[in-house]
Amino acid sequence: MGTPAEHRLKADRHARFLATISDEFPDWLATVAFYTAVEWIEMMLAGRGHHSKSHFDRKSALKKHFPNRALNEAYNTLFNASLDARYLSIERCPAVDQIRSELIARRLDHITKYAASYIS
Amino acid sequence: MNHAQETPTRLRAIQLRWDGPTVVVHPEDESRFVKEGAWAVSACQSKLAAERFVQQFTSEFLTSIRIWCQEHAKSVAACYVPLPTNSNLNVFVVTQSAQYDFGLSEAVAELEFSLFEKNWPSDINQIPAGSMEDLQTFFDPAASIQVYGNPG
Repeated sequence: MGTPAEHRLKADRHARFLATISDEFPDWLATVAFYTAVEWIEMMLAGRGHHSKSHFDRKSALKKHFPNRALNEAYNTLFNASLDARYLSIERCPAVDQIRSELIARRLDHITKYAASYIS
Repeated sequence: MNHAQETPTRLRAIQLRWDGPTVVVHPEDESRFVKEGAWAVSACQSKLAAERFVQQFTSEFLTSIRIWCQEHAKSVAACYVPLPTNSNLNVFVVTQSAQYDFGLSEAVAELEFSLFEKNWPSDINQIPAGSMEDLQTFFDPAASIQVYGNPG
Protein backbone atom coordinates (compact mmCIF):
# COMPACT_ATOMS: atom_id res chain seq x y z
CA MET A 1 0.00 0.00 0.00
CA GLY A 2 1.33 3.44 -0.82
CA THR A 3 0.29 7.02 -1.37
CA PRO A 4 -0.14 8.37 -4.91
CA ALA A 5 3.13 10.29 -4.48
CA GLU A 6 4.99 7.13 -3.46
CA HIS A 7 3.68 5.23 -6.48
CA ARG A 8 4.64 8.12 -8.75
CA LEU A 9 8.17 8.08 -7.35
CA LYS A 10 8.45 4.34 -8.04
CA ALA A 11 7.04 4.76 -11.54
CA ASP A 12 9.70 7.39 -12.28
CA ARG A 13 12.45 5.12 -10.91
CA HIS A 14 11.20 2.14 -12.96
CA ALA A 15 11.07 4.34 -16.09
CA ARG A 16 14.67 5.43 -15.54
CA PHE A 17 15.75 1.81 -15.11
CA LEU A 18 13.79 0.83 -18.23
CA ALA A 19 15.78 3.37 -20.24
CA THR A 20 19.03 1.60 -19.27
CA ILE A 21 18.02 -1.89 -20.49
CA SER A 22 19.58 -2.93 -23.79
CA ASP A 23 18.00 -4.81 -26.69
CA GLU A 24 19.80 -7.91 -25.46
CA PHE A 25 17.12 -8.41 -22.80
CA PRO A 26 13.65 -8.15 -24.40
CA ASP A 27 12.11 -10.16 -21.56
CA TRP A 28 13.34 -7.63 -18.99
CA LEU A 29 12.30 -4.70 -21.19
CA ALA A 30 8.76 -6.08 -21.22
CA THR A 31 8.82 -6.88 -17.51
CA VAL A 32 10.10 -3.49 -16.35
CA ALA A 33 7.71 -1.72 -18.76
CA PHE A 34 4.84 -3.62 -17.16
CA TYR A 35 5.91 -2.83 -13.60
CA THR A 36 6.29 0.83 -14.54
CA ALA A 37 2.68 0.71 -15.73
CA VAL A 38 1.67 -1.02 -12.48
CA GLU A 39 2.99 1.93 -10.47
CA TRP A 40 1.16 4.49 -12.65
CA ILE A 41 -2.07 2.53 -12.31
CA GLU A 42 -1.59 2.08 -8.57
CA MET A 43 -0.97 5.82 -8.27
CA MET A 44 -4.30 6.50 -9.98
CA LEU A 45 -6.14 3.86 -7.94
CA ALA A 46 -4.61 5.10 -4.69
CA GLY A 47 -6.12 8.47 -5.54
CA ARG A 48 -9.50 6.73 -5.48
CA GLY A 49 -8.71 4.97 -2.20
CA HIS A 50 -8.05 1.58 -3.78
CA HIS A 51 -4.94 -0.49 -3.04
CA SER A 52 -4.73 -3.65 -5.15
CA LYS A 53 -4.22 -7.01 -3.49
CA SER A 54 -3.40 -8.91 -6.68
CA HIS A 55 -3.02 -8.51 -10.44
CA PHE A 56 -6.62 -9.72 -10.84
CA ASP A 57 -7.85 -7.18 -8.31
CA ARG A 58 -5.95 -4.38 -10.08
CA LYS A 59 -7.43 -5.21 -13.49
CA SER A 60 -10.95 -5.23 -12.07
CA ALA A 61 -10.39 -2.01 -10.12
CA LEU A 62 -9.01 -0.28 -13.20
CA LYS A 63 -12.14 -1.16 -15.18
CA LYS A 64 -14.35 -0.01 -12.32
CA HIS A 65 -12.62 3.30 -11.50
CA PHE A 66 -11.23 4.18 -14.94
CA PRO A 67 -13.50 2.60 -17.58
CA ASN A 68 -11.47 4.00 -20.44
CA ARG A 69 -11.16 1.37 -23.20
CA ALA A 70 -7.74 2.48 -24.50
CA LEU A 71 -6.26 2.73 -21.01
CA ASN A 72 -7.45 -0.75 -20.08
CA GLU A 73 -6.28 -2.22 -23.38
CA ALA A 74 -2.83 -0.68 -22.86
CA TYR A 75 -2.55 -2.12 -19.34
CA ASN A 76 -3.88 -5.55 -20.36
CA THR A 77 -1.41 -5.77 -23.23
CA LEU A 78 1.53 -4.86 -21.00
CA PHE A 79 0.38 -7.43 -18.44
CA ASN A 80 -0.14 -10.20 -20.99
CA ALA A 81 2.92 -9.64 -23.18
CA SER A 82 5.23 -9.34 -20.18
CA LEU A 83 3.71 -12.50 -18.69
CA ASP A 84 4.57 -14.36 -21.91
CA ALA A 85 8.04 -12.77 -21.95
CA ARG A 86 8.73 -13.93 -18.40
CA TYR A 87 7.38 -17.46 -18.63
CA LEU A 88 8.05 -18.59 -22.20
CA SER A 89 11.36 -19.37 -23.88
CA ILE A 90 13.34 -16.48 -25.36
CA GLU A 91 12.45 -17.64 -28.90
CA ARG A 92 8.76 -17.16 -28.12
CA CYS A 93 9.20 -13.89 -26.24
CA PRO A 94 7.87 -10.88 -28.20
CA ALA A 95 10.59 -9.46 -30.46
CA VAL A 96 12.57 -6.53 -29.10
CA ASP A 97 11.39 -4.12 -31.82
CA GLN A 98 7.77 -4.98 -30.99
CA ILE A 99 8.42 -4.50 -27.30
CA ARG A 100 9.90 -1.09 -27.96
CA SER A 101 7.24 0.04 -30.46
CA GLU A 102 4.06 -1.73 -29.29
CA LEU A 103 4.63 -1.99 -25.55
CA ILE A 104 6.85 0.93 -24.56
CA ALA A 105 6.33 3.64 -27.21
CA ARG A 106 2.61 2.96 -27.53
CA ARG A 107 1.00 1.31 -24.49
CA LEU A 108 3.30 2.45 -21.68
CA ASP A 109 3.42 5.94 -23.19
CA HIS A 110 -0.38 6.04 -23.25
CA ILE A 111 -0.61 5.02 -19.59
CA THR A 112 2.10 7.50 -18.59
CA LYS A 113 0.31 10.37 -20.34
CA TYR A 114 -3.06 9.33 -18.95
CA ALA A 115 -1.60 9.20 -15.43
CA ALA A 116 0.10 12.59 -15.91
CA SER A 117 -3.19 14.14 -17.01
CA TYR A 118 -4.86 12.59 -13.98
CA ILE A 119 -2.37 14.30 -11.68
CA SER A 120 -2.69 17.72 -13.25
CA MET B 1 -1.14 -46.47 -9.37
CA ASN B 2 0.35 -46.33 -12.84
CA HIS B 3 1.19 -42.70 -13.49
CA ALA B 4 2.69 -43.47 -16.88
CA GLN B 5 -0.71 -44.62 -18.13
CA GLU B 6 -2.83 -42.07 -16.33
CA THR B 7 -0.98 -38.84 -17.03
CA PRO B 8 -1.78 -38.50 -20.76
CA THR B 9 -5.52 -38.96 -20.07
CA ARG B 10 -5.47 -36.40 -17.25
CA LEU B 11 -3.89 -33.79 -19.49
CA ARG B 12 -6.97 -33.59 -21.67
CA ALA B 13 -9.24 -30.68 -20.86
CA ILE B 14 -12.93 -31.16 -20.18
CA GLN B 15 -14.73 -30.96 -23.51
CA LEU B 16 -18.05 -29.26 -24.18
CA ARG B 17 -20.67 -30.17 -26.77
CA TRP B 18 -22.29 -27.23 -28.51
CA ASP B 19 -25.76 -27.96 -29.88
CA GLY B 20 -26.99 -24.68 -31.29
CA PRO B 21 -27.67 -22.27 -28.45
CA THR B 22 -27.30 -24.93 -25.74
CA VAL B 23 -24.07 -26.21 -24.32
CA VAL B 24 -23.52 -29.42 -22.39
CA VAL B 25 -20.48 -31.17 -21.00
CA HIS B 26 -19.33 -33.97 -23.28
CA PRO B 27 -20.73 -37.29 -21.90
CA GLU B 28 -17.24 -38.77 -21.60
CA ASP B 29 -16.17 -35.92 -19.34
CA GLU B 30 -19.35 -35.58 -17.31
CA SER B 31 -18.09 -37.62 -14.35
CA ARG B 32 -14.96 -35.49 -14.16
CA PHE B 33 -16.98 -32.29 -14.38
CA VAL B 34 -19.31 -33.45 -11.58
CA LYS B 35 -16.50 -34.88 -9.48
CA GLU B 36 -14.50 -31.74 -9.83
CA GLY B 37 -17.68 -29.72 -9.25
CA ALA B 38 -16.26 -28.99 -5.83
CA TRP B 39 -14.70 -26.03 -7.61
CA ALA B 40 -18.09 -24.39 -7.96
CA VAL B 41 -19.12 -25.04 -4.37
CA SER B 42 -15.84 -23.66 -3.06
CA ALA B 43 -16.24 -20.65 -5.34
CA CYS B 44 -19.81 -20.00 -4.23
CA GLN B 45 -19.75 -21.35 -0.64
CA SER B 46 -23.22 -22.92 -0.94
CA LYS B 47 -24.61 -25.74 -3.07
CA LEU B 48 -27.64 -23.78 -4.27
CA ALA B 49 -25.55 -20.79 -5.29
CA ALA B 50 -23.09 -23.19 -6.93
CA GLU B 51 -25.81 -24.80 -9.07
CA ARG B 52 -27.04 -21.41 -10.20
CA PHE B 53 -23.47 -20.30 -10.81
CA VAL B 54 -22.67 -23.35 -12.96
CA GLN B 55 -25.81 -22.78 -15.05
CA GLN B 56 -24.98 -19.11 -15.68
CA PHE B 57 -21.28 -19.80 -16.02
CA THR B 58 -22.04 -22.23 -18.83
CA SER B 59 -24.84 -20.41 -20.63
CA GLU B 60 -23.49 -16.86 -20.31
CA PHE B 61 -19.77 -16.82 -19.65
CA LEU B 62 -18.56 -19.84 -21.65
CA THR B 63 -20.96 -19.16 -24.49
CA SER B 64 -19.81 -15.54 -24.85
CA ILE B 65 -16.20 -16.68 -25.01
CA ARG B 66 -17.00 -19.44 -27.49
CA ILE B 67 -18.76 -16.98 -29.82
CA TRP B 68 -15.83 -14.55 -29.55
CA CYS B 69 -13.38 -17.33 -30.45
CA GLN B 70 -15.45 -18.25 -33.49
CA GLU B 71 -15.47 -14.62 -34.59
CA HIS B 72 -11.67 -14.49 -34.27
CA ALA B 73 -10.95 -17.95 -35.64
CA LYS B 74 -8.20 -16.63 -37.92
CA SER B 75 -6.16 -15.67 -34.88
CA VAL B 76 -7.40 -18.13 -32.25
CA ALA B 77 -6.43 -21.81 -32.18
CA ALA B 78 -7.94 -22.85 -28.84
CA CYS B 79 -9.35 -21.47 -25.63
CA TYR B 80 -9.36 -22.84 -22.08
CA VAL B 81 -11.08 -21.81 -18.87
CA PRO B 82 -9.58 -23.32 -15.71
CA LEU B 83 -12.27 -24.45 -13.27
CA PRO B 84 -12.47 -21.51 -10.86
CA THR B 85 -11.73 -22.37 -7.23
CA ASN B 86 -12.19 -18.83 -5.97
CA SER B 87 -13.84 -15.70 -7.33
CA ASN B 88 -11.15 -15.25 -10.01
CA LEU B 89 -12.09 -16.35 -13.52
CA ASN B 90 -9.19 -16.91 -15.89
CA VAL B 91 -9.32 -17.46 -19.64
CA PHE B 92 -6.39 -18.56 -21.79
CA VAL B 93 -6.63 -17.89 -25.50
CA VAL B 94 -4.10 -19.93 -27.49
CA THR B 95 -3.27 -18.00 -30.64
CA GLN B 96 -2.46 -19.28 -34.10
CA SER B 97 0.69 -17.20 -33.90
CA ALA B 98 3.83 -18.64 -32.27
CA GLN B 99 4.54 -15.24 -30.70
CA TYR B 100 2.42 -12.70 -28.87
CA ASP B 101 -0.24 -11.43 -31.29
CA PHE B 102 -0.38 -7.65 -30.86
CA GLY B 103 -3.11 -7.51 -33.51
CA LEU B 104 -5.41 -9.46 -31.21
CA SER B 105 -4.80 -7.33 -28.10
CA GLU B 106 -7.64 -4.88 -28.62
CA ALA B 107 -10.17 -7.66 -29.26
CA VAL B 108 -9.07 -9.55 -26.14
CA ALA B 109 -9.30 -6.39 -24.03
CA GLU B 110 -12.74 -5.64 -25.46
CA LEU B 111 -13.94 -9.16 -24.60
CA GLU B 112 -12.63 -8.77 -21.06
CA PHE B 113 -14.34 -5.39 -20.75
CA SER B 114 -17.67 -6.62 -22.08
CA LEU B 115 -17.63 -9.60 -19.69
CA PHE B 116 -16.80 -7.24 -16.81
CA GLU B 117 -19.83 -5.14 -17.72
CA LYS B 118 -21.96 -8.31 -17.62
CA ASN B 119 -20.69 -9.02 -14.08
CA TRP B 120 -18.17 -11.62 -15.19
CA PRO B 121 -14.88 -10.04 -14.10
CA SER B 122 -12.17 -12.19 -15.60
CA ASP B 123 -8.53 -12.20 -16.56
CA ILE B 124 -8.15 -13.08 -20.23
CA ASN B 125 -4.68 -13.71 -21.58
CA GLN B 126 -3.33 -14.95 -24.86
CA ILE B 127 -0.64 -17.61 -25.09
CA PRO B 128 1.30 -18.18 -28.32
CA ALA B 129 0.76 -21.54 -30.00
CA GLY B 130 2.97 -24.26 -28.56
CA SER B 131 2.86 -27.66 -26.94
CA MET B 132 0.45 -28.82 -24.25
CA GLU B 133 3.42 -28.77 -21.87
CA ASP B 134 3.85 -25.04 -22.59
CA LEU B 135 0.25 -24.46 -21.54
CA GLN B 136 0.99 -26.08 -18.19
CA THR B 137 3.31 -23.17 -17.46
CA PHE B 138 0.18 -21.05 -17.11
CA PHE B 139 -2.59 -23.41 -16.02
CA ASP B 140 -3.53 -27.07 -15.59
CA PRO B 141 -5.28 -28.19 -18.79
CA ALA B 142 -6.66 -31.25 -16.98
CA ALA B 143 -8.55 -29.01 -14.56
CA SER B 144 -9.86 -26.77 -17.32
CA ILE B 145 -12.72 -26.56 -19.76
CA GLN B 146 -11.81 -26.35 -23.42
CA VAL B 147 -14.20 -23.79 -24.84
CA TYR B 148 -12.81 -23.72 -28.35
CA GLY B 149 -10.43 -25.60 -30.63
CA ASN B 150 -9.53 -29.19 -31.27
CA PRO B 151 -9.04 -31.36 -28.19
CA GLY B 152 -5.35 -31.47 -27.28
